[in-house]
Amino acid sequence: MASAGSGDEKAAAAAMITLISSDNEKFEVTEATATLSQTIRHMIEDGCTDGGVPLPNVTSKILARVIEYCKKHATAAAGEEGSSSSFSDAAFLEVDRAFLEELEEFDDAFLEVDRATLFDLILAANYLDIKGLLNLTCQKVADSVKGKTPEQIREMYNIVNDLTPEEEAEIRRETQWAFE
Amino acid sequence: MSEPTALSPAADLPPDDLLREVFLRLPPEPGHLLSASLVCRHWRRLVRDPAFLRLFRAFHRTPPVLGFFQNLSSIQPHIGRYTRFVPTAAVSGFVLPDGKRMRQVLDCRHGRVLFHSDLGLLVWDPMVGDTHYMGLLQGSKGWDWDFTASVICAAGHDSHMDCHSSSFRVVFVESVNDDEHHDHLATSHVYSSETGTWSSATTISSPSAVTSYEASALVGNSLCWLLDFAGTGKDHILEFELHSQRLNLIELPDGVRDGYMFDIHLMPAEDGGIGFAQVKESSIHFWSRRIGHHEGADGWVLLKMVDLHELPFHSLAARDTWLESTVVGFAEDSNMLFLESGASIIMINLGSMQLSEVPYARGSSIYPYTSFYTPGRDIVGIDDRAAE
Repeated sequence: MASAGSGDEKAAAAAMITLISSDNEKFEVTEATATLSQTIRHMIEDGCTDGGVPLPNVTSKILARVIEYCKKHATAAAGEEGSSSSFSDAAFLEVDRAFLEELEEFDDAFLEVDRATLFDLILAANYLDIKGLLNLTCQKVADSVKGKTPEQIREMYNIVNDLTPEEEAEIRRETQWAFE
Repeated sequence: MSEPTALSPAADLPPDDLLREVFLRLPPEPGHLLSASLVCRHWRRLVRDPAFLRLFRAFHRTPPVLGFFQNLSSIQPHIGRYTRFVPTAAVSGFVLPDGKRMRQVLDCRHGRVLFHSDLGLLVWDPMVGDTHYMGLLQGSKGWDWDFTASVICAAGHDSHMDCHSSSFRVVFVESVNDDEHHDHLATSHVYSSETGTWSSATTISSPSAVTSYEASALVGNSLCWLLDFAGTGKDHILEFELHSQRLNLIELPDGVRDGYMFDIHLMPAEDGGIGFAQVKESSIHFWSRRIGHHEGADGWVLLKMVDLHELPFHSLAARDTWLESTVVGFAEDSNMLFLESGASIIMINLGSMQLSEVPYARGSSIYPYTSFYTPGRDIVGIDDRAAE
């Protein structure tokens, strides 16, 4: 897409930032990609990014995924900005919808991970303060809990039930509106 | 979408602040948080934490419609009049308190239901299970009695999204014939749950009687009821101003009687004023009363018309029946309008214009019930335990 391309060119011209994972792997990313993280944005604003940004809470495996997410979403954001001036309203809406659909597809595929990775992504999104990624990953877990019985949730997440049968029976009596 | 594989131990669950972020994103219907609260003591404490529940309500903003109450009569004499609850969300239903003694639902607001029962007026919180009887007022006269009553939360909070533990008020209005002046006298009384007493009465002369067949509308600081069809002359709304505790009469526009067969539904208008809605010629008409507006009939304006042809009825059975439907209810907190077609009831979210159908339901007046999850009583004794 033309607008996505122009976004990439703009980003390429911008400064590069080095991110360093907990296992000491270095990742070169554009500032536009890195600043989807509010944590890194503040570091850049404070001028503390010379020599790379150490991220001791994020492994290289997870950081690679996080960067993949940020690249895609930074490109989309830049593409939208770029397109707004050069397209008519109708064309802009069309491009906008295409972007949103593409992003949704990307997000769905991005979330096809095992549970440990999903939880690690939540932790990383929280630490790096990436609102969109935190929302996406937490929603994925919420969706897995949604509509499940307490037994199913416990089984899915290996949680030990420490409520006594008497307590459970009492709760169910008091909340009969929820149970048949 | 595939489920994450179930291998990691519970210790791998995200820390509490991130578990809260997950719980926030559960749907607003109370069954989801209730299920989470039954998983283990730790989750139960997180879900029932008042600070979390405030965040949850702020995150979802609009309380979900859980269903509606309605008054029905059976042709079988041993059943007679009865009330029922029709669930529309993920609730299995409420068991009415003192089922057989409940004569009539009068109003439903801020998480509570107001009944007229054999034992007098009753306010019931179906989520928490609390019942509060207010006794019979002096002069209650059985079935032919012209009266109405409304329940409102008495707490001073900005948005009434969690009123379950707050105090409440009941405003009761009865009409008596004033034979001398050929009209009616409407008299209001206010009950406070804090003091358990009824306040002194205010009275106004009105051209027709109050009725107990429709829910009231809360508009700003006023409760509004439709007065009975006047027969001759203008038709009116009775307004009770909650701060001044005064009764006022509001004239309806002339077109109401002929245009809507006087079958209109009072509700707050989009612009914040007193309003009403009804279907006419395949459109929903929304009226609003403009104060200080002297053009047109008594300051009323037809604010908006929604063409029923443009709503996505095609997903529903018998779409043509909706063109002749009537407005039977409005959930103030959820901005949800209820239409009845004769075959089913449909809910229209006036914000998103999304539709959902309640099959096999009918009725000329319904009382929508909205609520978020509320923890109710601390049955298990978890809330008081210090965090581990």
